[in-house]
Amino acid sequence: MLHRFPLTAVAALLLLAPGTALAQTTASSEIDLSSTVVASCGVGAPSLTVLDLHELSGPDGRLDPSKRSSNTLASTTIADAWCNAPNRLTFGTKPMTLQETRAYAQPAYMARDITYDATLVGWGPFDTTRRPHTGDDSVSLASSHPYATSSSGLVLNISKLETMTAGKVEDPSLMLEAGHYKGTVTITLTTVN
Amino acid sequence: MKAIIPVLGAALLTGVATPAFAQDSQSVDIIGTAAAFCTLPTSWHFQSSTNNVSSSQFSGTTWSINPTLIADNTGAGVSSTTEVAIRVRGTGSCNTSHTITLRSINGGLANTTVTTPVSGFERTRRMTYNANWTGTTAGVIGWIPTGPGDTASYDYVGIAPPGTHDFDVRMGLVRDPTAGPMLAGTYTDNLVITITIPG
Repeated sequence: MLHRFPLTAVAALLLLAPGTALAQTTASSEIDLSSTVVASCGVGAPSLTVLDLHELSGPDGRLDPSKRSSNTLASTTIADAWCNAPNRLTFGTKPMTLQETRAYAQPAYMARDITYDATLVGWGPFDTTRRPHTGDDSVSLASSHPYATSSSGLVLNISKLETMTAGKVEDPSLMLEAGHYKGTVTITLTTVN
Repeated sequence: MKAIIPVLGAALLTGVATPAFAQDSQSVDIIGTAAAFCTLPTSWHFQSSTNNVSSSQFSGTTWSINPTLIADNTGAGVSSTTEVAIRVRGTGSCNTSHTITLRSINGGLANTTVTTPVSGFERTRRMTYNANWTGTTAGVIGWIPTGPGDTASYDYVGIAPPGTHDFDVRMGLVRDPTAGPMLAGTYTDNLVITITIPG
């Protein structure tokens, strides 16, 4: 019996020894890692930055009937557009206006401004169309979620031109004044709170 | 523990960075041109005349002037202050500044069957011409050519273009005294109207 006891005691010591070591050397702390991904948006370069509709007038000097078509006359694609946070897309359009300055007032029977349909396809579920008249025609589309265009990108289509009076009223009977015409479409993506 | 402090400090610095509101934008220009153009009437119709000229005297592009208005039956040139004139009209168009030019091939009503003057006879009658967009006082007005091939022009530069508009040509016979009898024959002139657009 005596002979067996020490063996038991030895075994007990061996078991206790590791427990004692843990209680004495373990310490814990926490390290927080923090960083920020800045809310941002990106709009890639359009495949075409200038959409040339070429000669606008028909044989009678009025807008060529083909330019009034609802079919797309010209288009350009932005392959990548995205926002990684809630955002707002602003679609700004300005009518095509005569670039040359004339020494006389605009005659009532002639046009120096042309409106058109600018349709944006690929941002959200719905197409957006603006028809600029005054030069300050824009629309904002707010989204509460991050968004990125699909592989087909963001497509801008131009169609349905029409001449306008000096008062910016559409009038197909007007003759276009000779010269160069230019309008601008601006697509802006902005993050919002 | 001390070794951890710098790590926590760095984490705090990163955490207070202010999120920026980003914006990106692209623009596309839509361009086109309207070519400068002008057209003159392709046909003319009688518009008005003085009492001694009838509409039937104008046909197509020709005014056939009654010979009695030029010379009497003795060949003497008719001298009168009573105007003999006709106005014809057609539709033209223009969308830009332009110049109207008139050219009188014979320099007035002239007998061109003889190439050299015959002493003692008259072989021309003076004509006066107007060319202008209807309703405007601007244009070639009261021009009297003095020799074959004479021209007169009016610049519609800095003036609103007419769009599609009526265009008038007025032709008048100036019946001033003649120095001698009129040479027998046919008297003609050819009035050429040209619109040019400055380059």
